[in-house]
Formats: sequence, C-alpha cells, structure tokens
Amino acid sequence: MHVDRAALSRFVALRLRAPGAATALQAGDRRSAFRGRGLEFADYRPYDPGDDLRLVDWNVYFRLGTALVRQFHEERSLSVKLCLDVSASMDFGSPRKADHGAQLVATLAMIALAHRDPVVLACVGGRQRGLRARAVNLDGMPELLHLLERAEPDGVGDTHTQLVAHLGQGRADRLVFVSDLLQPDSERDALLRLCAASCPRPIVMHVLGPDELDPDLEDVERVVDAETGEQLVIRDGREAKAAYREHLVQWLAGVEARCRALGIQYMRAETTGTTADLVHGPLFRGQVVEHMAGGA
Amino acid sequence: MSASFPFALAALVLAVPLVAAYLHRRRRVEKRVPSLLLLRVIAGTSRPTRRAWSRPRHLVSLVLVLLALVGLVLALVDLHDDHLWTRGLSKKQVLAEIVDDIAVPRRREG
Repeated sequence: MHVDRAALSRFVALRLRAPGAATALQAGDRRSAFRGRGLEFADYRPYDPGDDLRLVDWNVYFRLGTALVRQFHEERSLSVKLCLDVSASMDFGSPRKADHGAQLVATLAMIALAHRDPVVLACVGGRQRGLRARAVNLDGMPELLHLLERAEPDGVGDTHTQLVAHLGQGRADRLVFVSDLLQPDSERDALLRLCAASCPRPIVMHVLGPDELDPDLEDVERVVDAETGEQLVIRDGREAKAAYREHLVQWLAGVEARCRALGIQYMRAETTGTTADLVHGPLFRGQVVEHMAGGA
Repeated sequence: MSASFPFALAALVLAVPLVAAYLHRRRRVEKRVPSLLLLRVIAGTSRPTRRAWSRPRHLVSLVLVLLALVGLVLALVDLHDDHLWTRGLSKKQVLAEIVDDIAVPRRREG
C-alpha cells in the first residue's frame, strides 16, 4: 500500500484526546487510574512495611498516631491500537480504499507517537498473517510505515479471528478500526461487538469509495464478488440505480445506528476526500484529536 | 415525377450502416466489485436475452437521422413535376415563347 510520508509531518501539532484514564504501562503526561508516584495528590492509604518512608505523611502521623502513605495519580501514556482492513474488497477505487486507509492509519500513528503514546498496528482480514508492528515513540514510526507499505489487500482472511488475536494482547485506550465494512451482516456485527468490548470508546472509520457510492454498471451484465467469487446477474436501468441508492442509504444508516448502539464512534472516510480534511473535520469535531493546547 | 440526378438515390444505402450503428450495443461485460453485499438489491433473476433489434436504443433519434438522410437524398436527386409531358406536349412546345408586339407603339424613325 502507498503512504505519503511527506504529508505526515503536518499533523505533529495535534495529539489524540484521551477518552478516559490512560492505562499504558509507559509513563506519559496523561492522567491514569493508577495510584503511585506522580504530581497530583489522589488519596491516603495505610502504611505497609516496605513502603517508601518519603511518602509517609508525618503531619498526619503526629496528629493521629497512624502512619498513612500519600498516593498520587500516576501519569501514563495513551495506549493506541490501530486496525486496518486489508481484505480484497479494499483493493478498489481510485485512490484505492486500502491506500486511503493506510494513509489515515499512518496519520493517526504519527499523531500518537509524536506525543509518546504507544501504538500497536495490525492489518487484518487479508491472507497474510503476522502483519503487526508496535512503536512507543517516533523512532518506531519507520517500522509501522514499512508494515503498511509491504501489506497489500489480497484474498479474504478471518477478520474476526485476526482481530481477536490483535485486541487480546494488552489493553487499549484508543482503538481505531479502519474498514469498508463490506462483510456479511453477521460477521460485521460480530466485529463491531468485538471492538465495543475491547475499548471504552472505539472508533470505526468507514472507508467508502466511488464504487460503492455511485457504481458504474452501464453495459455490465454480471458482477463478481472480489472476495468470494460469487456472481450475480444484475438489472440495468434507472429503476435499478434508484433501488441501489435507496438500499445504500438504508445500509449506511443501519451501520451507523448499530455503531451508536454499541457505543462506537462512527465516521465515514470517503476516498474522494483527503486525510487532512478528515483529521481537521470529523476527527477534530468528534474529539478524537485536539491541538496541543488542549487538556489531557 | 422526374429526377435530375437519379444516381443520387444510391446514397440511401447509407441508411444501412446508420441503422446498424443504432442497433449495435457494446458487449455487456463482467465486472469485479468489492462486494455483492450492496448489489443484491439490483440482482436480476435470469440472464437478459432480449435481442438487440427488438428495441433499438434512442429510437426517436434514429427516426430523425433517417428522415434527415432521406431529405438530403431527395434534395440531391432533384425531383420535379413533369405533368406537361404526360399530356402529350413536347418540351419545345412548352418552352416556346411567343411575343406579340403589334400593339406596342414603335418609335418613329427619322
């Protein structure tokens, strides 16, 4: 897949907004649910043998005669997981849906890594296995880009199993799943439920190309599914086009409604738009990214 | 009726390729799509077998083009009415011009 590396540096002034308390093991600048060392006081707890004596609040000890240890909110990084669908259906459109998705994923990785939020990236749904890379800072960005550039959408793999394997390894504070969602209804619903269960507020970015929005079916006798090889004879004519458009609107509305019901942030990423438009538009409005001046 | 250039009628042969061009349809092809998920709604039940000449495309346009061709050919042929000849008069008789200038006053000479 193709990634425009030069365009990535434009987004380093942004950072990912934390949907809740950060949970990464890596120290960072975001408030976490963990208690320990930090700057912001959280609570007291009784002294246990082995605790650092510097944390004992001696004023309280002399007043009450009980040794209490001060606890602070630990500051951690945001753990980010990015999943890109590389099934054969992403190999369509101009620009290709896969390239658009790769650029989007690379942009989000750059935004996260620029602020030392660790990123785990996985390409799921294709024939190739083991398309997974991890980075904790910008030094690891080339590895993520290399993964994206060597991955190609081909065939159809078990997206659900691959996603389970990816999401089962460690927690995620931010999960972004980039896909065209052209799976059968039951499979798509299982994927969405899996995303919803893996992270407090996951994001699904729905990649849509002109082939879906306004397919050119003139003089086409039959269509062949790129993933399954199934064939359909199609009707031609205005009624068929009107029926398709109506069905498309219903389908999109259904997917969006299902995502909302599961607590998933749903965003459309049409390939006709640019990544910059998406970042500064829906991602910014959806409070997924923020300027550096914003709070954690 | 008579034609000045009857050979121009041969231009009517041009109607054949014109009609053929209108009847011609591009061969309907097979197309690979990302998924059939959205296309099932416009799926047909059987292969279309309608013959091309049963319904030419753009029928009105075809009729207009044919009418234009016929008009052009008729203009080239130059048809004219020859009913005078059919009444037994010769061409010279018809075209003879008799001028009677008796009643015209003449200028006196001298």
